[in-house]
Amino acid sequence: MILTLIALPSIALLLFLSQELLNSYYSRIITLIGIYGIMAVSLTLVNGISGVFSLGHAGFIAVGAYTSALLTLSPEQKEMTFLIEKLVWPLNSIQIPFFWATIIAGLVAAVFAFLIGWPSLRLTGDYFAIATLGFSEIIRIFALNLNSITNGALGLKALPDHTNVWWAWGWLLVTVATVLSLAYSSFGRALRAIREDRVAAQAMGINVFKHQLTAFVLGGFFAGISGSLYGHWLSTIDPRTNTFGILLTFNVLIMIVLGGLGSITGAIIGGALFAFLSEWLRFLEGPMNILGFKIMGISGMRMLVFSGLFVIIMIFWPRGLMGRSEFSWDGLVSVFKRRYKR
Amino acid sequence: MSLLTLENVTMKFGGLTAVKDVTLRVEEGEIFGLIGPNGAGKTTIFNMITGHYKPTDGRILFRENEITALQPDKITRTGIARTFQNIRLFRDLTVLENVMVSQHHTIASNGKAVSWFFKSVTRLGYSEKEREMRNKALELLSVLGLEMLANEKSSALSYGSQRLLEIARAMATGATLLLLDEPAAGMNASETAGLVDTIRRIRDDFGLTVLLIEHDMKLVMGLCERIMVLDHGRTISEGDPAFVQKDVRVIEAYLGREWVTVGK
Repeated sequence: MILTLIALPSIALLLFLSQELLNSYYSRIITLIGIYGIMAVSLTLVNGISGVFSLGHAGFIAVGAYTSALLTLSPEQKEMTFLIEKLVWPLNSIQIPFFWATIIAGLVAAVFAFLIGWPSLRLTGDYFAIATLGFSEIIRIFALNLNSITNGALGLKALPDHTNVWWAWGWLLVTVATVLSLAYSSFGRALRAIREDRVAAQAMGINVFKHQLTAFVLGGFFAGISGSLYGHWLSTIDPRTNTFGILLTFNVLIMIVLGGLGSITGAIIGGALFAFLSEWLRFLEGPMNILGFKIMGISGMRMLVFSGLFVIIMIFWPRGLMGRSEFSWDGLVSVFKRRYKR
Repeated sequence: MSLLTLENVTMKFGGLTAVKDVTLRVEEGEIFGLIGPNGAGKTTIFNMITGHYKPTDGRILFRENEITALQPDKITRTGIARTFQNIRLFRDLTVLENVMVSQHHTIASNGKAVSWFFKSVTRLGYSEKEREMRNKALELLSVLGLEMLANEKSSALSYGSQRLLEIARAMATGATLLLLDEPAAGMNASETAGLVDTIRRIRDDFGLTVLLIEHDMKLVMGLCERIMVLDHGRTISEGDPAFVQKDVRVIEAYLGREWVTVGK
């Protein structure tokens, strides 16, 4: 507890130093780690802790990104961007600060989560996964075609680059604090009980549907927040690419499985590792000189090595890096003790 | 009026009639046994009482309120809790957590849910409630002799202890009627003897009513005050242990018709 209190300011100090000392490329990656962390933690609440397997996370992230982008762009910019059809009335004339736009993005995503969760949480297991997968595809199709709101295939461009290290890591802190305290309350215990045995949980007086819906909506809320941050980090939202498509869901899924499905701190580690590796491995795609052989860069090589690394991690840590346990200082100490005893 | 009443309850699965026209009254404070050969419909009756199945016909009343086909969690909140024949503990949770989960509905039931939700996020006034639940859970564990195992994962427990934990978990819901589905299955003789004492003790100390299914005849005859015998979904005999043991229809159901004629 005390160590955690010391750790938080030191992380803040490190972030500050990284801003001062490192170039903007690195500080962008550090920001991305924060954003991925939020995505992973919010999906962990749904997939890891309450045990409903959602594949619709990208849908909520996209909803959040669009919502906040439409709120932070200036009316003149919107006038210029919306070439196909004019933006509908209330949206075309408002511009609000980034903080509020992000909150509203979260709320709108939560409403979407409620609307999709209400009918589909009556399904279980694979059926629910397919329903949410369908939902995120529907969001993408709507984004492509709803010209008067999303600007259709042209997407939204030149978003103000509001997202910096502080926004990303600040929201990460809020997300982690909320999800952690919830997951380790009676509510979280009930969710884990549902994950372990749905029938028995219901027989012990737990309203399974309501609990899962609450978790799903909250997961949607933080997904919306991360979407807002992600949109303003990329500064473009293009529905034609897969940035906000199914691939994003699977990337987030990789993060949480990598970190350990059901572990919140594991999700952050998974997110950080994912962000770090996917950038760091870029050197593989440049021209290389191995043993005198000159190799031209092969694009896509990065992803190949990336997947190889995941397979290796899954072989040695089949339940992810953290399993279902959380990071604790005692745990860290005991790891080092074991090292030195050998 | 009886604590639990089943009125002419019938359960059909397609063409199969699992339970036919069963009427059952359980009085407050008694230990009632439900026995019968495999496939007689005993567990089906449990599943109907707890709302896991919706009876095809008939009514189920608890404290004179109709509970027929309510959702299982609602039925539990009215005061009926069960254990499972094939143990269904929350395997990845600790023994203590398993028991605490059952108390969750007391703080998150209708109306209180929203205020409670913010309480647990902000942690304001929450730890007191948590401590209360923890203490109650520990007390129940010590009643069943599991307090030493409180921080073990429930899946690490021996079979007999898991059965006891299922009872503790059911009791923690605050139920007044316990439905025990084969509580002694997989237990050795000394564990079974201990179980008989335990069930009697919790009935007396907590003012519970117990309805149990069991195949161990020694346990049933020694523990239950009234017994109902089912065969092929129908009631074939009902009464105290001495009466049921002598009933020709019961012997016939268990041992076959020839045995009855030879016995005469």
